[in-house]
Amino acid sequence: MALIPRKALCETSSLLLQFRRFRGKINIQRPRKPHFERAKYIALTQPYFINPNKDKTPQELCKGFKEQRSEETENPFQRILSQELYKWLTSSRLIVFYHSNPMPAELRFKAKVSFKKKNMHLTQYGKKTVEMAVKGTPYEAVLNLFVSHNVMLFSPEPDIKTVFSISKKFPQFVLLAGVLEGKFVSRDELTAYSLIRTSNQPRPGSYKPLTASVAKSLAV
Amino acid sequence: MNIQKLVILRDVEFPDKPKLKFIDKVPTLPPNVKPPKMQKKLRLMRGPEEIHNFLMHKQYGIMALCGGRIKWGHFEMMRLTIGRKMDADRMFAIWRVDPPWQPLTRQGQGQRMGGGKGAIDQYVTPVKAGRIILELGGKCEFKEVKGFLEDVAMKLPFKAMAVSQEMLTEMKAKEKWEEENNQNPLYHEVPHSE
Repeated sequence: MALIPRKALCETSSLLLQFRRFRGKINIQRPRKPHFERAKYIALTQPYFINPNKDKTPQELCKGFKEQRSEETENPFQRILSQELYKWLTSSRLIVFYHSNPMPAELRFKAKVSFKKKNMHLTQYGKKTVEMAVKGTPYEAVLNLFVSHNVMLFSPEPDIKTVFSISKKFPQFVLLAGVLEGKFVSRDELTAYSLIRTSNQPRPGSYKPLTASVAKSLAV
Repeated sequence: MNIQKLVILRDVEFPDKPKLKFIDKVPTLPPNVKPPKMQKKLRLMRGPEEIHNFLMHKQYGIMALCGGRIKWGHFEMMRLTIGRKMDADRMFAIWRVDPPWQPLTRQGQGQRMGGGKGAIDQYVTPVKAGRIILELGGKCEFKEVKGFLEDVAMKLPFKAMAVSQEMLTEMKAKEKWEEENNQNPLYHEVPHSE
């Protein structure tokens, strides 16, 4: 019983310090900035974590770190194109490789049309597609030609003369090399073959140095 | 080359009507009852949503990031925009909030203080942060629907975003990780407002 007045004395709230809480209506979408004291406590009680980059080497931190890069998956459409290219390579008797300099698309189309009229197929493939097509095949050496922009011409008949006559009109296509009846021929060899005035095209294995007598014997 | 794997379109249960239902402006009351006025009840918009914060069909939806009130005009905007932009053959949409039920009163323009509580001006639906407003599902990918869902989300009177089930699971996983890997012994979740 005697404890009650003592308890009442100890637990009186100090009227000098009356805290203001929940004054008025709060704005939910634009909340009021907290008082400095409250903001201090909020800052102290914020969570913090160990930096995931803590024990990493500079190589691991580098953005272009190769091991971190996922292996590039094969593009199925590119695989289909490479298969198509391989079919063209194996089915044509004459293949000519050009370096293509910049030219207007209109002119490029005209070139394609001119070749198409002679039943020749002019196409452009990227190095990766060609790599997919020829890797592991006898045509692998072709990759050395694919440095810059390249264009390929496929012909079912080894009609070198027509190829040269049309190519002359389009100087942006720079002839590099060719494949004649399954054998690689250089630009000089192709030029030589084109100069031979004969309906029967020579076999690459039977190439002889072009002297006057040989030319006469071959000419019909 | 970055090839994306094909997404297998799962078997989804389609509701009877694919498009969003029409929402009434005023809730129907028994005929002899005077429409009751109500307190402001900001607590209905305050704090995080604990119950309706998941996607029922586990596909896509719009989530509120902040509390607010949805008026009838917003409902119409959502219904018509999504009705126009979605493909009704492949997709369906459902409401995840109640039609407007909370009466909001207004005193009248130019009135002085006093004279009792104002007359009912409109009905609204209060919404808390984290609430799913509507859900969209069907045979579609998030990329297809994200565009118009974001458009709708931006027009709502509170901050909102288009979400997919993957995003929600990611958020939950991140929360769990943060809880487990927190290095601050003084950490205590306190509301940042006030």
